[in-house]
Amino acid sequence: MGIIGKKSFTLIETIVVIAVIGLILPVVFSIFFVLLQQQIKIYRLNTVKKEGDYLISIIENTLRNDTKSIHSAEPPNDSNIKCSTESSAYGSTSSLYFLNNNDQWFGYLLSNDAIAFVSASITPVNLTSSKIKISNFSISCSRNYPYSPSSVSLSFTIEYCNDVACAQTRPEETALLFYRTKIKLRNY
Amino acid sequence: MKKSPGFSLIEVLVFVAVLSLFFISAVTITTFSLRNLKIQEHKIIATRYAEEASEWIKQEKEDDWEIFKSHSDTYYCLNLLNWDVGACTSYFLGTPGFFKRDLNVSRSGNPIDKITTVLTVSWLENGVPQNVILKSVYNLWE
Repeated sequence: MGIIGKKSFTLIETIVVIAVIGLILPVVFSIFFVLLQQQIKIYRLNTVKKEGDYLISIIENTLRNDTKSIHSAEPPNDSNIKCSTESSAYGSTSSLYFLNNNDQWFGYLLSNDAIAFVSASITPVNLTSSKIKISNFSISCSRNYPYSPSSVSLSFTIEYCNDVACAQTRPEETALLFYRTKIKLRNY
Repeated sequence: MKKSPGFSLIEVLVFVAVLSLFFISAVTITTFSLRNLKIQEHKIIATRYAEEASEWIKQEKEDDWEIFKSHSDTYYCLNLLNWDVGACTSYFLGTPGFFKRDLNVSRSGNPIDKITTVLTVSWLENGVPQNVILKSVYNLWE
Protein backbone atom coordinates (compact mmCIF):
# COMPACT_ATOMS: atom_id res chain seq x y z
CA MET A 1 0.00 0.00 0.00
CA GLY A 2 0.96 3.59 -0.11
CA ILE A 3 2.01 6.03 -2.78
CA ILE A 4 3.85 3.51 -4.96
CA GLY A 5 0.82 1.58 -6.29
CA LYS A 6 -1.24 4.62 -7.20
CA LYS A 7 -1.60 5.47 -10.87
CA SER A 8 -1.19 9.11 -11.83
CA PHE A 9 -0.43 11.34 -14.81
CA THR A 10 3.18 11.66 -15.80
CA LEU A 11 4.75 15.02 -16.52
CA ILE A 12 4.78 14.29 -20.27
CA GLU A 13 1.06 13.51 -20.29
CA THR A 14 0.26 16.70 -18.45
CA ILE A 15 2.41 18.76 -20.80
CA VAL A 16 0.70 17.24 -23.85
CA VAL A 17 -2.74 18.00 -22.40
CA ILE A 18 -1.77 21.58 -21.62
CA ALA A 19 -0.30 22.00 -25.12
CA VAL A 20 -3.50 20.75 -26.74
CA ILE A 21 -5.61 23.08 -24.58
CA GLY A 22 -3.21 25.89 -25.42
CA LEU A 23 -3.78 25.26 -29.12
CA ILE A 24 -7.56 25.00 -28.92
CA LEU A 25 -8.34 27.95 -26.63
CA PRO A 26 -6.69 30.66 -28.77
CA VAL A 27 -8.55 29.39 -31.84
CA VAL A 28 -11.88 29.46 -30.01
CA PHE A 29 -11.27 32.90 -28.55
CA SER A 30 -10.05 34.37 -31.83
CA ILE A 31 -13.26 33.21 -33.50
CA PHE A 32 -15.27 34.90 -30.77
CA PHE A 33 -13.16 38.03 -31.13
CA VAL A 34 -13.81 38.22 -34.87
CA LEU A 35 -17.51 37.72 -34.18
CA LEU A 36 -17.55 40.57 -31.70
CA GLN A 37 -15.64 42.82 -34.08
CA GLN A 38 -18.06 42.06 -36.87
CA GLN A 39 -21.01 42.90 -34.64
CA ILE A 40 -19.42 46.23 -33.75
CA LYS A 41 -18.92 46.97 -37.43
CA ILE A 42 -22.54 46.16 -38.24
CA TYR A 43 -23.69 48.35 -35.38
CA ARG A 44 -21.59 51.24 -36.68
CA LEU A 45 -22.74 50.84 -40.26
CA ASN A 46 -26.32 50.72 -39.05
CA THR A 47 -25.88 53.88 -37.02
CA VAL A 48 -24.23 55.66 -39.93
CA LYS A 49 -26.98 54.60 -42.33
CA LYS A 50 -29.73 55.56 -39.90
CA GLU A 51 -28.25 59.02 -39.34
CA GLY A 52 -27.60 59.54 -43.04
CA ASP A 53 -31.12 58.51 -44.03
CA TYR A 54 -32.54 60.80 -41.36
CA LEU A 55 -30.45 63.73 -42.61
CA ILE A 56 -31.44 63.19 -46.22
CA SER A 57 -35.12 62.77 -45.43
CA ILE A 58 -35.37 65.84 -43.21
CA ILE A 59 -33.49 68.07 -45.65
CA GLU A 60 -35.47 66.70 -48.58
CA ASN A 61 -38.81 67.28 -46.91
CA THR A 62 -38.12 70.83 -45.81
CA LEU A 63 -36.64 71.84 -49.14
CA ARG A 64 -39.15 70.13 -51.36
CA ASN A 65 -42.25 71.35 -49.62
CA ASP A 66 -41.43 74.63 -47.92
CA THR A 67 -38.77 76.44 -49.88
CA LYS A 68 -39.52 79.56 -51.85
CA SER A 69 -36.05 80.94 -52.59
CA ILE A 70 -32.40 80.07 -52.11
CA HIS A 71 -29.80 82.35 -50.55
CA SER A 72 -26.07 82.30 -49.97
CA ALA A 73 -26.05 84.14 -46.62
CA GLU A 74 -28.26 84.88 -43.63
CA PRO A 75 -30.53 86.70 -43.17
CA PRO A 76 -31.76 86.06 -46.72
CA ASN A 77 -32.57 89.12 -48.79
CA ASP A 78 -32.71 90.14 -52.43
CA SER A 79 -28.99 90.79 -52.66
CA ASN A 80 -27.91 87.25 -51.75
CA ILE A 81 -30.58 85.36 -53.66
CA LYS A 82 -29.21 82.50 -55.80
CA CYS A 83 -30.46 80.31 -58.64
CA SER A 84 -33.46 82.51 -59.32
CA THR A 85 -32.75 83.06 -63.00
CA GLU A 86 -32.39 80.68 -65.91
CA SER A 87 -29.06 78.85 -66.31
CA SER A 88 -27.74 79.99 -62.97
CA ALA A 89 -25.93 77.91 -60.41
CA TYR A 90 -24.33 78.34 -57.03
CA GLY A 91 -22.38 75.94 -54.87
CA SER A 92 -21.05 75.92 -51.36
CA THR A 93 -19.18 73.53 -49.12
CA SER A 94 -20.43 75.07 -45.90
CA SER A 95 -23.97 76.43 -45.94
CA LEU A 96 -27.11 77.37 -47.85
CA TYR A 97 -30.12 79.33 -46.62
CA PHE A 98 -33.74 79.21 -47.67
CA LEU A 99 -36.89 81.26 -47.34
CA ASN A 100 -40.15 79.44 -46.77
CA ASN A 101 -43.71 80.34 -47.72
CA ASN A 102 -44.26 82.30 -44.52
CA ASP A 103 -41.14 84.38 -45.20
CA GLN A 104 -39.32 82.67 -42.37
CA TRP A 105 -35.77 81.68 -43.16
CA PHE A 106 -33.85 78.54 -42.32
CA GLY A 107 -30.64 76.95 -43.45
CA TYR A 108 -28.32 73.98 -43.30
CA LEU A 109 -24.67 74.41 -42.50
CA LEU A 110 -21.61 72.33 -41.75
CA SER A 111 -20.21 73.12 -38.34
CA ASN A 112 -17.67 71.05 -36.42
CA ASP A 113 -18.07 67.99 -38.66
CA ALA A 114 -21.84 67.94 -38.23
CA ILE A 115 -24.73 69.23 -40.27
CA ALA A 116 -26.73 71.80 -38.33
CA PHE A 117 -30.16 73.30 -38.88
CA VAL A 118 -30.42 77.02 -38.27
CA SER A 119 -33.30 79.46 -38.43
CA ALA A 120 -34.19 82.98 -37.34
CA SER A 121 -35.62 81.81 -34.04
CA ILE A 122 -33.13 79.13 -33.00
CA THR A 123 -29.38 78.81 -32.77
CA PRO A 124 -27.80 76.03 -34.87
CA VAL A 125 -28.92 72.56 -33.84
CA ASN A 126 -26.87 69.56 -34.88
CA LEU A 127 -28.91 67.01 -36.78
CA THR A 128 -26.43 64.19 -36.18
CA SER A 129 -25.17 62.66 -32.98
CA SER A 130 -21.72 63.33 -31.57
CA LYS A 131 -20.39 59.97 -32.77
CA ILE A 132 -20.96 60.93 -36.39
CA LYS A 133 -18.58 62.88 -38.59
CA ILE A 134 -19.66 64.56 -41.80
CA SER A 135 -17.08 65.37 -44.44
CA ASN A 136 -16.96 66.35 -48.11
CA PHE A 137 -20.14 68.30 -47.56
CA SER A 138 -21.39 70.07 -50.63
CA ILE A 139 -24.67 71.86 -51.18
CA SER A 140 -25.47 73.60 -54.42
CA CYS A 141 -28.38 74.85 -56.44
CA SER A 142 -29.08 75.24 -60.13
CA ARG A 143 -31.85 76.29 -62.45
CA ASN A 144 -31.75 75.10 -66.01
CA TYR A 145 -34.96 76.28 -67.62
CA PRO A 146 -37.25 79.24 -66.97
CA TYR A 147 -40.30 76.96 -66.80
CA SER A 148 -38.87 74.48 -64.29
CA PRO A 149 -38.12 75.15 -60.64
CA SER A 150 -34.63 75.26 -59.15
CA SER A 151 -33.12 72.15 -57.71
CA VAL A 152 -30.73 71.68 -54.82
CA SER A 153 -27.96 69.08 -54.93
CA LEU A 154 -26.58 67.72 -51.73
CA SER A 155 -23.74 65.33 -51.06
CA PHE A 156 -21.74 64.28 -48.05
CA THR A 157 -19.70 61.48 -46.58
CA ILE A 158 -20.86 60.19 -43.24
CA GLU A 159 -18.56 58.28 -40.94
CA TYR A 160 -18.64 56.71 -37.50
CA CYS A 161 -16.16 58.16 -34.99
CA ASN A 162 -14.88 56.18 -32.07
CA ASP A 163 -13.03 59.05 -30.43
CA VAL A 164 -12.78 62.80 -30.72
CA ALA A 165 -9.93 62.69 -33.21
CA CYS A 166 -11.85 60.27 -35.46
CA ALA A 167 -8.60 58.74 -36.62
CA GLN A 168 -9.40 55.06 -37.07
CA THR A 169 -7.63 53.76 -40.12
CA ARG A 170 -8.10 50.01 -39.86
CA PRO A 171 -10.61 48.85 -42.45
CA GLU A 172 -12.50 46.65 -40.01
CA GLU A 173 -13.20 49.65 -37.79
CA THR A 174 -14.35 52.18 -40.33
CA ALA A 175 -18.00 52.59 -41.18
CA LEU A 176 -18.41 55.09 -43.98
CA LEU A 177 -21.20 55.80 -46.43
CA PHE A 178 -21.57 58.32 -49.22
CA TYR A 179 -24.83 60.19 -49.73
CA ARG A 180 -25.91 62.21 -52.71
CA THR A 181 -29.29 63.52 -53.69
CA LYS A 182 -30.94 66.19 -55.77
CA ILE A 183 -34.12 67.88 -54.66
CA LYS A 184 -36.50 69.74 -56.90
CA LEU A 185 -38.28 72.60 -55.14
CA ARG A 186 -42.00 72.19 -55.60
CA ASN A 187 -43.05 75.48 -54.06
CA TYR A 188 -40.71 77.62 -56.03
CA MET B 1 -5.40 4.49 2.80
CA LYS B 2 -7.93 3.66 0.09
CA LYS B 3 -6.68 3.41 -3.45
CA SER B 4 -8.60 5.69 -5.88
CA PRO B 5 -9.50 3.89 -9.11
CA GLY B 6 -8.69 6.66 -11.69
CA PHE B 7 -10.29 6.87 -15.18
CA SER B 8 -10.42 4.02 -17.61
CA LEU B 9 -9.54 4.58 -21.29
CA ILE B 10 -13.21 4.24 -22.32
CA GLU B 11 -14.30 6.92 -19.86
CA VAL B 12 -11.68 9.34 -21.10
CA LEU B 13 -12.59 8.64 -24.74
CA VAL B 14 -16.29 9.25 -24.08
CA PHE B 15 -15.52 12.46 -22.27
CA VAL B 16 -13.23 13.71 -25.04
CA ALA B 17 -15.83 12.78 -27.67
CA VAL B 18 -18.59 14.69 -25.87
CA LEU B 19 -16.31 17.67 -25.36
CA SER B 20 -15.22 17.74 -28.99
CA LEU B 21 -18.82 17.46 -30.16
CA PHE B 22 -19.64 20.49 -28.06
CA PHE B 23 -16.67 22.44 -29.41
CA ILE B 24 -17.37 21.52 -33.00
CA SER B 25 -21.01 22.57 -32.75
CA ALA B 26 -20.06 25.83 -31.01
CA VAL B 27 -17.51 26.69 -33.69
CA THR B 28 -19.95 25.76 -36.47
CA ILE B 29 -22.65 28.00 -35.04
CA THR B 30 -20.18 30.82 -34.57
CA THR B 31 -18.79 30.68 -38.08
CA PHE B 32 -22.31 30.45 -39.46
CA SER B 33 -23.41 33.55 -37.60
CA LEU B 34 -20.20 35.28 -38.60
CA ARG B 35 -20.99 34.58 -42.24
CA ASN B 36 -24.49 35.93 -41.70
CA LEU B 37 -23.12 39.09 -40.12
CA LYS B 38 -20.83 39.58 -43.10
CA ILE B 39 -23.81 39.25 -45.43
CA GLN B 40 -25.70 41.77 -43.29
CA GLU B 41 -22.84 44.23 -43.53
CA HIS B 42 -22.70 43.94 -47.29
CA LYS B 43 -26.46 44.20 -47.50
CA ILE B 44 -26.44 47.52 -45.65
CA ILE B 45 -23.87 48.90 -48.08
CA ALA B 46 -25.67 47.43 -51.08
CA THR B 47 -28.96 49.00 -49.96
CA ARG B 48 -27.20 52.34 -49.78
CA TYR B 49 -25.90 51.90 -53.33
CA ALA B 50 -29.36 50.92 -54.52
CA GLU B 51 -30.94 53.98 -52.89
CA GLU B 52 -28.25 56.21 -54.35
CA ALA B 53 -28.98 54.93 -57.85
CA SER B 54 -32.71 55.19 -57.26
CA GLU B 55 -32.26 58.87 -56.30
CA TRP B 56 -30.19 59.38 -59.42
CA ILE B 57 -32.84 57.83 -61.66
CA LYS B 58 -35.47 60.07 -60.07
CA GLN B 59 -33.29 63.08 -60.82
CA GLU B 60 -32.87 61.98 -64.40
CA LYS B 61 -36.60 61.68 -64.70
CA GLU B 62 -37.27 65.07 -63.11
CA ASP B 63 -34.57 66.79 -65.10
CA ASP B 64 -35.92 65.88 -68.48
CA TRP B 65 -38.71 63.40 -69.19
CA GLU B 66 -38.07 63.45 -72.95
CA ILE B 67 -34.49 62.27 -72.54
CA PHE B 68 -35.48 59.88 -69.79
CA LYS B 69 -38.08 58.09 -71.87
CA SER B 70 -35.74 57.84 -74.86
CA HIS B 71 -33.66 55.17 -73.13
CA SER B 72 -34.43 51.76 -74.54
CA ASP B 73 -35.87 48.64 -72.93
CA THR B 74 -32.64 46.98 -71.98
CA TYR B 75 -30.06 46.51 -69.26
CA TYR B 76 -27.89 49.39 -68.15
CA CYS B 77 -24.82 49.25 -65.93
CA LEU B 78 -25.15 52.00 -63.33
CA ASN B 79 -21.83 51.43 -61.56
CA LEU B 80 -20.73 54.96 -62.44
CA LEU B 81 -24.22 56.47 -62.51
CA ASN B 82 -24.16 56.83 -66.30
CA TRP B 83 -26.46 55.30 -68.86
CA ASP B 84 -23.95 52.63 -69.87
CA VAL B 85 -25.75 50.14 -72.10
CA GLY B 86 -25.36 46.47 -71.22
CA ALA B 87 -25.28 44.57 -67.96
CA CYS B 88 -22.27 45.11 -65.73
CA THR B 89 -19.48 42.67 -66.40
CA SER B 90 -17.40 43.10 -63.26
CA TYR B 91 -17.84 43.88 -59.59
CA PHE B 92 -16.04 47.19 -59.16
CA LEU B 93 -18.42 49.41 -57.22
CA GLY B 94 -17.21 50.48 -53.78
CA THR B 95 -13.78 50.48 -52.17
CA PRO B 96 -12.51 47.83 -52.61
CA GLY B 97 -14.66 47.00 -55.64
CA PHE B 98 -17.16 44.43 -54.53
CA PHE B 99 -20.58 45.30 -55.94
CA LYS B 100 -22.23 45.83 -59.29
CA ARG B 101 -25.37 47.76 -60.07
CA ASP B 102 -27.65 46.83 -62.96
CA LEU B 103 -30.78 48.53 -64.16
CA ASN B 104 -33.47 46.95 -66.29
CA VAL B 105 -35.74 49.44 -68.03
CA SER B 106 -39.13 48.54 -69.48
CA ARG B 107 -41.40 51.16 -70.97
CA SER B 108 -45.10 51.01 -71.61
CA GLY B 109 -47.83 53.15 -73.15
CA ASN B 110 -48.07 54.79 -76.54
CA PRO B 111 -46.83 57.50 -76.33
CA ILE B 112 -44.67 56.25 -73.49
CA ASP B 113 -46.08 57.41 -70.17
CA LYS B 114 -44.87 54.75 -67.76
CA ILE B 115 -41.39 53.41 -67.15
CA THR B 116 -40.74 50.48 -64.84
CA THR B 117 -37.22 50.02 -63.57
CA VAL B 118 -35.70 47.15 -61.67
CA LEU B 119 -32.46 48.03 -59.96
CA THR B 120 -30.27 45.16 -58.79
CA VAL B 121 -27.17 45.62 -56.66
CA SER B 122 -25.34 42.31 -56.48
CA TRP B 123 -22.19 40.95 -55.01
CA LEU B 124 -20.48 37.62 -54.42
CA GLU B 125 -20.47 36.20 -50.91
CA ASN B 126 -17.87 33.40 -50.92
CA GLY B 127 -18.75 32.80 -54.53
CA VAL B 128 -22.49 32.78 -53.91
CA PRO B 129 -24.29 35.68 -55.62
CA GLN B 130 -26.39 37.89 -53.35
CA ASN B 131 -28.49 40.85 -54.35
CA VAL B 132 -30.65 43.75 -53.27
CA ILE B 133 -33.50 44.61 -55.61
CA LEU B 134 -35.38 47.91 -55.87
CA LYS B 135 -38.34 48.18 -58.22
CA SER B 136 -39.84 51.53 -59.13
CA VAL B 137 -42.36 52.94 -61.55
CA TYR B 138 -41.99 56.40 -63.07
CA ASN B 139 -44.86 58.33 -64.55
CA LEU B 140 -44.90 61.49 -66.58
CA TRP B 141 -47.48 62.98 -64.23
CA GLU B 142 -46.35 62.61 -60.69
